[in-house]
Amino acid sequence: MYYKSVNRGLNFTRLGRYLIGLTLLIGVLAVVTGINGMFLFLGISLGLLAVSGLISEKNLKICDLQGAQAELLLQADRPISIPIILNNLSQHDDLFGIELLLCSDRPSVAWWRAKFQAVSDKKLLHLGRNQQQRQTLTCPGLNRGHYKMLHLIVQTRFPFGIFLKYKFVTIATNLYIYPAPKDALLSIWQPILTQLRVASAGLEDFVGHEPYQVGTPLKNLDWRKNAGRERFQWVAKSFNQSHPGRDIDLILERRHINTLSPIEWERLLDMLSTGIDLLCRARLSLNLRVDNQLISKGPEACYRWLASANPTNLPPTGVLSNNRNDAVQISVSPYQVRMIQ
Amino acid sequence: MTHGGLSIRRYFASATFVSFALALWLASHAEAIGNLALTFIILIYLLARVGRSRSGSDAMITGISVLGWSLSAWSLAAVFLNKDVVYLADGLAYIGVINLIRSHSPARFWTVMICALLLCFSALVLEPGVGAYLFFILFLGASTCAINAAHLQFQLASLQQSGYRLDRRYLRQMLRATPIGLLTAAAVFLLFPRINNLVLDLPIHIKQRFKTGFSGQIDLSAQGSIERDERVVMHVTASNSPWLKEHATDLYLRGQALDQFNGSQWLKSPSDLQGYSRYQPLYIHSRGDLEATLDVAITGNPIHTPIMFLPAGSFLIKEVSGTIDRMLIDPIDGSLRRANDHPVRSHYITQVFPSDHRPDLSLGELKEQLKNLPTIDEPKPFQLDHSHLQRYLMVDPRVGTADYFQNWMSQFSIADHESIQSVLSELRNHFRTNYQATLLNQFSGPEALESFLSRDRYGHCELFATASVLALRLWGIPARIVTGYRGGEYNPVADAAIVKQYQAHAWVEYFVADSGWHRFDPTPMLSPVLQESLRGSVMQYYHAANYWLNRYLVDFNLRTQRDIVRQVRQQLKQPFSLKDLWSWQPLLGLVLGSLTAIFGWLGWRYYRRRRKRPRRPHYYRRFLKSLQQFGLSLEKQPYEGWSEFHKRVAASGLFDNSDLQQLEQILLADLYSSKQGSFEQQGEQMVLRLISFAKQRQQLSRHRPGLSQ
Repeated sequence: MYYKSVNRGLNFTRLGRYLIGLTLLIGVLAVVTGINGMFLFLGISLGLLAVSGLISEKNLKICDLQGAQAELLLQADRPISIPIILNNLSQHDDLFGIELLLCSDRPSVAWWRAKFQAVSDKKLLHLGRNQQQRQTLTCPGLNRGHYKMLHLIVQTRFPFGIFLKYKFVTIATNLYIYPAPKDALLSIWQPILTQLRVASAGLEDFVGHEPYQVGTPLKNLDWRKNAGRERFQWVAKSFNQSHPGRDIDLILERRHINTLSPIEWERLLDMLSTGIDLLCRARLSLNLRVDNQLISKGPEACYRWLASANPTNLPPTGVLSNNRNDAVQISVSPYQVRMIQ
Repeated sequence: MTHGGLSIRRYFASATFVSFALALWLASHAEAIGNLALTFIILIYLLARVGRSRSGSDAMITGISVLGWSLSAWSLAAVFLNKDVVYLADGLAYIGVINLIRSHSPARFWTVMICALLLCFSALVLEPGVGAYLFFILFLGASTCAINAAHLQFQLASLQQSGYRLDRRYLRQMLRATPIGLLTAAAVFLLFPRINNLVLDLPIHIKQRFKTGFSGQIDLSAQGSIERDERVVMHVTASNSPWLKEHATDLYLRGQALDQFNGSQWLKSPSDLQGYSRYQPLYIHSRGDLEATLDVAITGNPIHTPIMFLPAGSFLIKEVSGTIDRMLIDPIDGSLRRANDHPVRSHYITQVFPSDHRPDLSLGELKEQLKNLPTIDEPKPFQLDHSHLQRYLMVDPRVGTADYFQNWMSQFSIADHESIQSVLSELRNHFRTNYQATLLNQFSGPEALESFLSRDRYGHCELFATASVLALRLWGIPARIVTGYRGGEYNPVADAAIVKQYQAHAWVEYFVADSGWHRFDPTPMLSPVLQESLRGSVMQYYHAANYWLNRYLVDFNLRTQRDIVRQVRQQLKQPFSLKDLWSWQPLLGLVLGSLTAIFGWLGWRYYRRRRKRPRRPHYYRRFLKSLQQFGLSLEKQPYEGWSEFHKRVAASGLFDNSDLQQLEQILLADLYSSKQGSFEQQGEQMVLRLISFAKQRQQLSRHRPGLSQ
């Protein structure tokens, strides 16, 4: 049962359901046998439910939660920590058994039960009177999306474990969760990167060394320095910007997008994410376009777009574009990448 | 977190142990658990305690558990072998104690509690007295603590691991909600509809496990002594309170009559019991009697006798409780009994005519009447058939011809012209002058009657009644001995007569042809000093409490609910007067006292809180006041935090957001931080800043509308 006007919900625990069953059974037996001891049990049992509801209500009332999160750009399925501050507003009573859960979506509640799609582990807290506590809720990972707010469920089973009483607190966040780059897609992007490097060969100046990473061209490896070292200790030669005057335009073709299935759309985003990651590491400046319309400029903006991208909210056709003729244009589709210009 | 209080582990162990021990004690008191089983249970628990304190005790605990399970299996077998369901309680107690010694999981804990609850119910079925109910209430209280402790122990394990200890404040926090729970429980108990028609007799066979002062039999040769048993057997109330008050000590509650005496024992002639339905007349009565009737309600505690005790002069039964499913009547002696002989609580209302009609005819006239006694095919209880007359005139020759009896009879000179009343009066005076009544039975034995009449000259009611019946029979008056209870102690607080076990009594009934059987009690009253000593004011209130608890807790039923509703309606219909209010003095005093105490406590608490610390600091109150001055009707709601409220304030666009956040930090530090600081001064400065900023905003918005947005 959830009452939106007072922001309170109530579920029975398994123990509570058993107790209700036992109470009803003994109530029926009391009526049938007329034994007043059973009526007494019935009365005390219902009194217990009343007291349980009262104490848990008071606990929720004196539990104040504050939480906020600055803008974050994160890969999907990476652990996230959300800091919150828990206040016990009461000057007399302690807070026992307050459980905190984080939900990404607004929980769906009906009058008989509520469904929580928790994205964090449950945290059990106890707080003394007049105390404030800083806590961190850890989510093992969130799905791709732009999370303007997260929903915190504050619930308690105290004092008898019969009821599960809860309320919702909204935490303002600005989380951009973009698709994580996939190692499996690197092989598709590798030829493009090679082509770009070949085109700019001989134009770079050696500036120093950098740790070897997946995607670093083999020709950049400093074999003399890497001799006798393990792979993770390798270093590669680093050069200055190869094409300071040319951008890379990643182009999505609208006519293809409209024919994509949801799975193919997600694969396209994965492909883009992998490409952006790879090209960024090669220190290339990036733009994202749909046909010839600019969507986002720079890797961060691209990632933000990837986080909330939806085939139905693409920019309308006819929007003015600041297309540059000297940019390298790469067409990206779910299964292939090709250089156009 | 608090240290120095009760640890959660100990709280859990103590609450569970107390709950189970209370249930065990209750079951043991009601004899649901045998003494042998109780000894074994205590032994198992103590062995487990000893075993737990030693290292490597797992084998010992396992051994004890195996022993416990074996004993519970044996108890289950005993149910079938002895055909007595009470042995099931032994098994429940064994299962409970086995789980109690290892109650480290929720399942074991709940097993203990369910066993304890069932033990309590079995005790309440066997002996539903006031004491049992009060202990059951205690058990429910302890169980509530145990459930709370189990929640802390099992579901909030991290609290226990952190070493949290429960202090006085925790218990106070819990107790604060208790009145609500108790009120709910009382309301449910009192208002839950009782449906008498549905009440079934429990389909279980329970062996006799009760003792009573009333046995229905008289054996003068029985060895032993009469113990003064103070247990309450019955409560008697009447529709006419003054009558009850006047006749309480003289209230005869008739059980059954015995008619054959063999020298040491009184026996009852065999008879075929017949079904009895309500409103069927028991005694002869006249129209005048019917007009002067009153209703007498009798509530009986469970004793192992099917006999229903009736006040003298009862001529019909009006209402019976559901525990009396069928009634039977003995056509010879007119005694009434229940069809079932389980020791159950019973309640019935009889219609009584209180007039005590005494026949005034001579012995000669009586003998003439008896000669012409008609022969009746189916005699009513108040009639005597000619064929049965000799039964009530017969005296065993071993007694009638004995020297001691002849000598005793020779002290009377009774002639036929003397009236029956003068004969009875002479007999009564003879006993009062020469004999003394006592409850001591030091001369029980085969020569008890001889000892009583010729040597000791003091004894109990059975000896007085026996001698009187024999004398009356020898003088030609049909007589028999009757057993029951005499006298109740009138309790003005409860407005009821309370009958106890030691008031079991025997007296005489003699027959007169035209008016039936009449009562004659030859036993002198007991020492008034003894009677007076029992009427201490403390005992009066104790018995009144016992009566009220019986009526409103143990015997609370549909009838009681209707009575309460009727009384309330009557009170509402009557015009208000202080005199009526005075009649409700004890209840009114209790209610008013409780209300005064509750409101006094709440007021004191409120005053202390207000005095101790203002709810909001001065500067913040000033800030809230300024909101009203700026025309913002914003108030902090109880369910929202400070930050949420300040966000709402900031949304008005009148105050600077960063200043509001700083004010919030000062306020939180002032309210909740343990550090001492100049929060008051900082808060004042910040509020002044906020107000001045808001004033500037307001002035600007007047000149340039839309700026504040």
